[in-house]
Amino acid sequence: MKEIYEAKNYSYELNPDMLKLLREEFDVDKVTSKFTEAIKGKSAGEIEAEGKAIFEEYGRNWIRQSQKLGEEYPDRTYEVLLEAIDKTGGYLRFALAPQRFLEIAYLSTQEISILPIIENNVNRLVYRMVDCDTYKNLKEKCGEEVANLLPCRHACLTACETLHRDLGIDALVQMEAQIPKDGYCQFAARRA
Amino acid sequence: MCWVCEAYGDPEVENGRWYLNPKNHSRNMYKIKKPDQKAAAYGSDPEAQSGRNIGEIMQFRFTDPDKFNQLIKEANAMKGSGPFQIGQVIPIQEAYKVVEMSYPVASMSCICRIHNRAQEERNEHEYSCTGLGVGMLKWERWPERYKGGVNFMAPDEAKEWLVKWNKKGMVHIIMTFGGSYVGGVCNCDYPDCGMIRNRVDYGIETGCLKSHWVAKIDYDLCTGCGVCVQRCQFGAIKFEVTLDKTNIDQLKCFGCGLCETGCPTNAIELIDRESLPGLREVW
Amino acid sequence: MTAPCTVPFDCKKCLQACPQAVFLVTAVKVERGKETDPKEPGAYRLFAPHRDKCTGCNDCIELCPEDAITINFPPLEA
Ligand code: SF4
Ligand code: SF4
Ligand code: SF4
Repeated sequence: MKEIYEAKNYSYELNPDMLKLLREEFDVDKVTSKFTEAIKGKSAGEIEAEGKAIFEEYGRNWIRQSQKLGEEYPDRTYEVLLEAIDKTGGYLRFALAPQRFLEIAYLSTQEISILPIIENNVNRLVYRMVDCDTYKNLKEKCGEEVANLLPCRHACLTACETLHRDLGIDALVQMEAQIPKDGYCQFAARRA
Repeated sequence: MCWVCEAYGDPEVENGRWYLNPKNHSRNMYKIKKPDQKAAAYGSDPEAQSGRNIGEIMQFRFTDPDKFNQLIKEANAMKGSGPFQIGQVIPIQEAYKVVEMSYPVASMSCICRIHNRAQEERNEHEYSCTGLGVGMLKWERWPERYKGGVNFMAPDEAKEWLVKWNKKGMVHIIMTFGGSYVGGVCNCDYPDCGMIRNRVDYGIETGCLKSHWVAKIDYDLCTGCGVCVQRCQFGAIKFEVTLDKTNIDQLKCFGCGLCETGCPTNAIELIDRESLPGLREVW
Repeated sequence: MTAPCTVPFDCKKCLQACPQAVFLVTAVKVERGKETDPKEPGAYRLFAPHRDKCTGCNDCIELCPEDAITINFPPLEA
């Protein structure tokens, strides 16, 4: 018979130091201020182009750093996930491996305690932002009209796309809901 | 209509079956705790909480039987909104779909067998319960619950494993762990399974609802061999001497499909419960 | 019906023999992150939650090496 099992003093939650580092570097306040500066006196078309450029770059760096630090700061949940993936075949990395990095990215930069996961299975990874700080920030700084153009969606979309590409997972990323219309933003990655 | 499907199913997904709706299998992996928030204590999970709530009702069997019956009626009337786990019998064909969709899937020790028969399950050859979803990644938090391990399985492996327990005669029950979140497929039998026992012996319905199916015998194919009589955990089948065949009482049938998978002549088929007017509100 | 048994896992005779599955064993001592030792006396306890199903067959009493089980049925009414 096996010995009595005793768990080491593991942490199953995300490392707070890691979250702090990410929060400092990718503060939504900073990127929204940068955008606000950039669009001063610009036309609608230019605003869209500025938003795309600024938020795409932000989204790419934000998710890449989340992934990098996520690897540097593992937790027990992640270690067991890697064991499970190893045992069940690498194909099943999707959806939990990308889910972890997305949770790191959003939990570090938004005032939320969980990232609502709507679906996470072999075919789809779907998550939702309900009370988005980036949107609120934009609304305060640029007004509702500009905020409702959702320039920030480029950050979320790029982050999700970049992540799957960097992980070598062939996935199609789509936006399924938008705050101005639906009250929340929802992003879906479907395995191609 | 099945009230769990009504509450948690999506008519556009898998005929509205709640346990095949991916939303009920999805959950975040992490949570940011407030600085003063302590980690949850052992026994504060929905499963243990639900067990205690049922235990409290059960106490009244001895002290106040009228109150006992009243509390059970109330618990059943609460349907999913009460503080009880929801469980529903599913045939193996649907259990396959569940393990194909959910991740991770792990075999683990059955809590009922260890409690009620001191049956210890200490390795993957003995494990008889299936855990589903991200909770499995944190099993080490509760070693007393998981008895020192879980065994992660790829979908094909999980199916073979379900077949193994189905062959032995276990009923598959899909279980929630908090709200509509699906956390496991149990392999159960009477009397050690708490959910089956609570339902069959005491009438507590929520933890062991009948499946969406019901068994039907083709008398032309049945040879009266009696295999299905042995396999039914719910006492719904008996041998009928007059006809020299077996007979299924569809009002007692839970639709687990064990008789169907066991019948050597394929005389039994599972039909949709809701196609029979007398059964469509029997869950 | 009472069962003050302190080593249910070492013996488990009553648990497995009772035709009515009356008994239940559970850990009464739980430490965080640690499995309870089934060999430790008193760490697990035996209960009889389904005693309403007991038929009085006495199998458990005969099997119990510790004489830990007693059964009380109300006397027949005259
Ligand atoms: S009759 Fe068949 S399907 Fe119905 S409960 Fe019994 S074994 Fe299960
Ligand atoms: S197992 Fe099949 S053939 Fe045998 S008695 Fe049951 S229905 Fe008839
Ligand atoms: S006397 Fe009662 S508790 Fe003991 S074995 Fe018989 S039925 Fe079970």
